[in-house]
Amino acid sequence: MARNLRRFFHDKRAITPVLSNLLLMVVAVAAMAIATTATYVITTNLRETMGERLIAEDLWFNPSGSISIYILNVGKTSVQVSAVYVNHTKYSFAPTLFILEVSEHGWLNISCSWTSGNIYYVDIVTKRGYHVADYYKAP
Amino acid sequence: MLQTITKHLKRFKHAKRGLSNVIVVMLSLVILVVISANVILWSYQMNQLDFERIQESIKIANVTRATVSSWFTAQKEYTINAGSRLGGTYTNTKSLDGSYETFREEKTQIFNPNSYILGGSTKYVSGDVSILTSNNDVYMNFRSYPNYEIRYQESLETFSTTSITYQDKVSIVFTPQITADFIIIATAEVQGSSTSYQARARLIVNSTTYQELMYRVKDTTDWYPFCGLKRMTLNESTTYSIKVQFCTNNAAATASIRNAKIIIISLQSSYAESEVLSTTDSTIWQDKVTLAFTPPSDGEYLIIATANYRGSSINRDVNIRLIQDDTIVHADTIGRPGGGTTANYYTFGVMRKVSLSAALHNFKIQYCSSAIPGIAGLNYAHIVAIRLSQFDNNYYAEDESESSPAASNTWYDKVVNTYTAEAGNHLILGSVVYKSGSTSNSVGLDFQTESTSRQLPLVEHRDSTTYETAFFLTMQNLVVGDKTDKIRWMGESTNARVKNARLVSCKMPTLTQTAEVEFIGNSNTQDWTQLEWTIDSSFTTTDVTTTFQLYDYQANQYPTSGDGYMSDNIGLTDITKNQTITTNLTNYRDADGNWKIKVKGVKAADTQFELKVDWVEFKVTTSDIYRLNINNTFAIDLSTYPLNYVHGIEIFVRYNVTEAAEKWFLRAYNWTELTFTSSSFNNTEGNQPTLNEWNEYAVNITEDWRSYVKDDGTLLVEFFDEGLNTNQTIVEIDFFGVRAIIDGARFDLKNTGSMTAHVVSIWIINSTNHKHYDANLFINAGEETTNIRVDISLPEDDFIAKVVTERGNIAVFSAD
Repeated sequence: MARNLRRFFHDKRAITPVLSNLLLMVVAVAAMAIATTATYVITTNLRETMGERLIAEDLWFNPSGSISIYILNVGKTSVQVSAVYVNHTKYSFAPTLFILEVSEHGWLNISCSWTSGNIYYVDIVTKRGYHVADYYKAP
Repeated sequence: MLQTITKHLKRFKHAKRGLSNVIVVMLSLVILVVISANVILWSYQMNQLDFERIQESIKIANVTRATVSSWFTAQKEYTINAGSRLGGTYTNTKSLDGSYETFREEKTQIFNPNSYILGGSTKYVSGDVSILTSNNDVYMNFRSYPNYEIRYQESLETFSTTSITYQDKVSIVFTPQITADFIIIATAEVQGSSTSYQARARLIVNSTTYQELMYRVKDTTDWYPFCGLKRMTLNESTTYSIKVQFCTNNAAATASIRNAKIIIISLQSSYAESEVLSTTDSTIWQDKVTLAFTPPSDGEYLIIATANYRGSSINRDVNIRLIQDDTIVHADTIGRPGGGTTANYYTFGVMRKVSLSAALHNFKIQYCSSAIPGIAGLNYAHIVAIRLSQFDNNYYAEDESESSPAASNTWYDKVVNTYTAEAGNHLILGSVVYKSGSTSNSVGLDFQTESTSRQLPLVEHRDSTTYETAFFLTMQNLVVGDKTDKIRWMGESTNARVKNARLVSCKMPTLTQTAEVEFIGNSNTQDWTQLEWTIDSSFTTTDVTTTFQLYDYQANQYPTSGDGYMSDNIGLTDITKNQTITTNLTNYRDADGNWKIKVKGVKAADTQFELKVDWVEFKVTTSDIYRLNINNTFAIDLSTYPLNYVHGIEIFVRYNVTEAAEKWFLRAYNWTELTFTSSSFNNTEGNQPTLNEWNEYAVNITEDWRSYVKDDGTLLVEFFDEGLNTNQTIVEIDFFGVRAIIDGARFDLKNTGSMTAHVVSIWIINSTNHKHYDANLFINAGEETTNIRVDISLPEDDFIAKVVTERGNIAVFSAD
């Protein structure tokens, strides 16, 4: 038994093949891990873009002179409104950081004056590029 | 062929070069899966979401104003206070369908209490008087109170210290069961090892000093008496620490203390105090503190007075006395301070039994200086008067004369109190005025009970004219038999004197706990033929002597025997006590039909217990009038109709009668007034039924309706006859219910799609406002539903209503 153990520890013949195989495996695993991560990041962004859905529950031509839109996030990811266009003109809005989590809703106030009886095309654009737009007639 | 396959297999088995390829292939597959999951499957899911949204279809059929809730009906069988049930159950009264529950008028009527009054210091614990209507093991609980509380502690052995900060000698940590005025009395004897320093002792309660002796030692073998008195209110459930402490004022000297005793007792007393230091340079008596009171009747009182005095010069005296009604001198003393003068404070403490008439009396501690110039000072002055009738017994002896010894160093009896004691605790107090008569010899005092010395002061005075006081205290548990208490004395010289020696032994009352409560109710003023009163109760302890009394309005008192009186020994198990009375029945109600029942439980114990009352009933039988009185609870669904949105209550009953000779009434239990009333009802006139047809009777409560609805939405509603009919009537009830009056909105919705819709928002839009309301309503495919929202008040003018689903579909309704 002792002799067999001594022989095993003094045998140097298979070291080079083993090392080469191990190194090859490590390189392969590392390369594929990087590729997997990159793929995950890219596809996650794609998935979130695909998952965005918004609706405007209500649009109120406010007597105070502004336009308020009540937005509901019906998608599968949180959304951030990045721009609001009224008749293709960009307007500022409040709150400036307007983020809705899934199933959340809230008022978005557009600093835009309106005239009774006019038609307004209101387009809301999210940070990922989704937009919800419709025509509204001022009362 | 076989050889070729075998060769390829062996080659494959031994080949290692493909391992990396395999890993790469496997990981590539993982990447493909990730891409599929994130892009293809997600795309599929989003498409499905869009598809479902397209398929979802919800419509608003109508939006109208909702002014009432749905009906809330009985959830349990009706309680019958008068009458009987013939058929049917309460479930028959839940809908307008012709099925009914039948009741019949009877001559008996049951009443339960609507309020209670606590007796003595009994404390309410839990439960409501409304739960006393049945024997159902649901209780009102009341906590007992003690007749008095007492704690006594003594530490007789000698303690010594060189500490200049106070050390504990004897202490009591005490949490009163009830808030009361407590008298605190303390005594001890102190000794100092150096005539240059002080031996100190004080009485404190929670670190506040109420009596303090700073004795400049005259003779290091002396034991100078200390006494303390204080009356203060101690609050229940608060823990107090009462201590006698001692120390020296210089670490070079040793202070010693022995025979220290404290008693705390909550007896009725009259009390006055003046604790701040007062000084005078006058040689005319000055009032320090005055106790003025008028006894409720002639009686014997024990007067105890204490103070600490100081002088300003070693050749001037401080004179102190206790006088009654500005004429009777109970003690007159002369004190001479030692070196250090104003830094030293000495003892004044006396007691005496006096007989007082029921007139205004005053007791004063007065003081003055013996000569000019000289300043006398007095602080911590207290006087208390305790009526002796509070004790089971008291035995008193006094010898007011001045005694001189026939021989020095010989003990003589000054006063002897001999009595035949009953078994039990005795509070034994004594006081004496003494002088050594010499500046080099001491006078010894010996306070004895049953030939055992309880206190042994030995004092050498600084002047031959000095006359000081000593106060004695002990608590002894005596057995039945002849007892002798004594104050003995001894002079080291024949110049010693003693006078005003008094002894009293007071038998302490047995400690008892009492729970006492009166239940008050209303009945009627009809002609009764029989009265039956019932109480079901128990205690949280065993063997409580319990009395039940029904108030006799004719005699203006509770009976102590016969009709209106029951007693029993009740413990942990509920006992139902019942008595039927057939004579003088009007004695047990007042002109308005009110009655009251008192329950009182007494037990000799010092631990508090609780009285548990389960059921109190007052049942009367009338001679000729048939009555029906039923009640039940109705619970408004607060999850749908929160009380904030309720504007009133409507009560409705549909009934049929076999006799139409009298009206029928509705009342509701007013949870504020704790009684059934119909105040604030729109109709209090009752309903005159038509014979043998369904009669509908509805009342509205729109003002003060909240008093009729408990916080949990419960109403207790009563339906009863006018009480005029001598013919027995049968009543059938088809429907009995209550509903809330609201100002809400009713939405009739229909899901015309093939998917379940989840409504998350409701909009009410008019020309001036766009109002959003959160919603959480699921509507199955094809289902029509009605949703009442009490929090939505519809505009008076035209409006648009919208509902929004979770998937993003919007249904619109326009009300013109």
